Amino acid sequence: MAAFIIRRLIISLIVIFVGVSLTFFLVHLIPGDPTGIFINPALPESVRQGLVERYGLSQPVALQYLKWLYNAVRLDFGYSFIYPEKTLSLIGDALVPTLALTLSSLFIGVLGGCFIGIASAMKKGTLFDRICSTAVMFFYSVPSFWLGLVLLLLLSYWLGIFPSSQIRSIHHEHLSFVGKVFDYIIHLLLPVTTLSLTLMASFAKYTRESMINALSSSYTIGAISRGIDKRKIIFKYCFKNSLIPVINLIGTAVPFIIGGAITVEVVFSLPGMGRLIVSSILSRDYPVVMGIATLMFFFVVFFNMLVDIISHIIDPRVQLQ
Amino acid sequence: MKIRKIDNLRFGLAVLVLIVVFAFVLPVFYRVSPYEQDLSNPLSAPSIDHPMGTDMYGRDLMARIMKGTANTLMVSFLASLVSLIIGIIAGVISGFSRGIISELVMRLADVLLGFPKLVMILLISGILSRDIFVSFFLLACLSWMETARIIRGEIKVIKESLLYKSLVAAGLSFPKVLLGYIFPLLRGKFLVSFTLSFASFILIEISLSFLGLGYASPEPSLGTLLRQARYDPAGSYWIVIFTGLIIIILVSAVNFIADGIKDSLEENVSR
Repeated sequence: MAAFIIRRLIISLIVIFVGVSLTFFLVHLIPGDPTGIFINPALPESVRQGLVERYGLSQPVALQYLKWLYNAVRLDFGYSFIYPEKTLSLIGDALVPTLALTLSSLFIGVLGGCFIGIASAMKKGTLFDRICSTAVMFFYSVPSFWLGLVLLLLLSYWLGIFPSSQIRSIHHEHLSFVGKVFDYIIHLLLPVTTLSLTLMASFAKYTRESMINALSSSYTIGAISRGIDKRKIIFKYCFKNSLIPVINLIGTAVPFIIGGAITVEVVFSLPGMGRLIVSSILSRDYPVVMGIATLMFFFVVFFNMLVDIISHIIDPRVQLQ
Repeated sequence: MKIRKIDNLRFGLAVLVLIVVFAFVLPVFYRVSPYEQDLSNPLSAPSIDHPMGTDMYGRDLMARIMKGTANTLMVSFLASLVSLIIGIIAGVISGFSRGIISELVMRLADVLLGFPKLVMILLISGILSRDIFVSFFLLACLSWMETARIIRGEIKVIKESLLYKSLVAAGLSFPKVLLGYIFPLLRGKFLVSFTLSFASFILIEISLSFLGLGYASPEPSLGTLLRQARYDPAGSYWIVIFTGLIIIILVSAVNFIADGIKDSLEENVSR
């Protein structure tokens, strides 16, 4: 077990290192420097030169890389080119709405998806299963931001029940504590619904498939013939076995959740990571781009590792290849 | 049971053909330019002149959706083709070679699989290249790993089979064995990989264009159309509805095809 985790840890660190280094060179080797994008062209050339010097953009890329790496190890990602703020505090501010959105959607999506998947696998072929499968196919095939646009249109523009954008109201500061919490919830309700519907669909799809496989396997038939209680078979044997693909799916879903969160955030104008990523890439805000890329690598690699370890615990036959 | 499974595949294929006709053939008969602006008539709801309404510049939405569907289909089709070809090559190389080359290819796949695809997608299309065909080609170069793993696994099995051994013993050349005997066996796997990545590339294109990192104006795609509607969904709900309908029909058709092929492959195995 310990050996398994250590090997997994070493591979993860290699992936992060290679990925982050590749990203750095990808970003910095592109011809032209970012000052051309964000500086006012009316300013004299000497100002631009000064900025290039100050940010160290005229140094050889390899040297910039070593410097960046040295600082990054100490969790110092420097200052943004655009905003008068440290990269880390920019990312920290943007992370809060994004985490609130993704974690609650993941929670609802996994629970709801597993429930629907198991229920329709057990009632395979019935009307209930057909209705569920059709709905699942629908939400599985729809980009989450389109769903968001439709919900926005229905519930906030036409019916006026929910606010259409931002994470809190203008009068947020004047609310009581309970009022503030309620204010956040009502602003997050539509985005979370949007993202969790999409997630629920893919989890329901995979759970149904792997549950059907488990239900028709020889060990289930054996257990039924030995007269073991059906509930026990379903929840103790089948569900546990069909859990491994589902857990793997959580691992692979994490990058997609972040991706879905980006477009959903844009639809609902949430001040989260999505907006920061897109705007920093478009304005070539290198320190922020690199900070986000590093964070993402950590996030995805960490989740993949967690998934591998959990599936190893559930089923010790799962080995590192 | 069996009839319903084939129905999945046929249904998906039929719908996909209809969409291809809508995107590539219908514009020949529907002679309205998707680029021509009519600023006296912006954001008008569906009418006889404009069956699907107009966008914020008064351009005919139906013509733009046709052209947009064609653009989305084209770039996703090419990208999934490229990723399939690279996947097959990598799978064959690592399946047949022993030792270091095989290891190298698979370790590279491991590292690339650990990458946050989304960050790569945004970086490539946001910084590296603003040409959507170039950035989707690069994306395809980063999405061959699943296919390669599947092909490699299959080839490892085939290599041990009596069929392969007897073909080699009969003195057939390697390309002949590969193209004449192994690839036909793997055709189903190729098709599943291709359809699955087709569906995901369609969604990637739509999301990227929605974020403003895909097709550049005035070229429409299913994503850029929705991007326009985002500023004022209530004032342009027909854009949201019509574009969304096409997206749902298109992606679910491709997903139905993938499910159908998978089911029929499983049936072949169990038989």
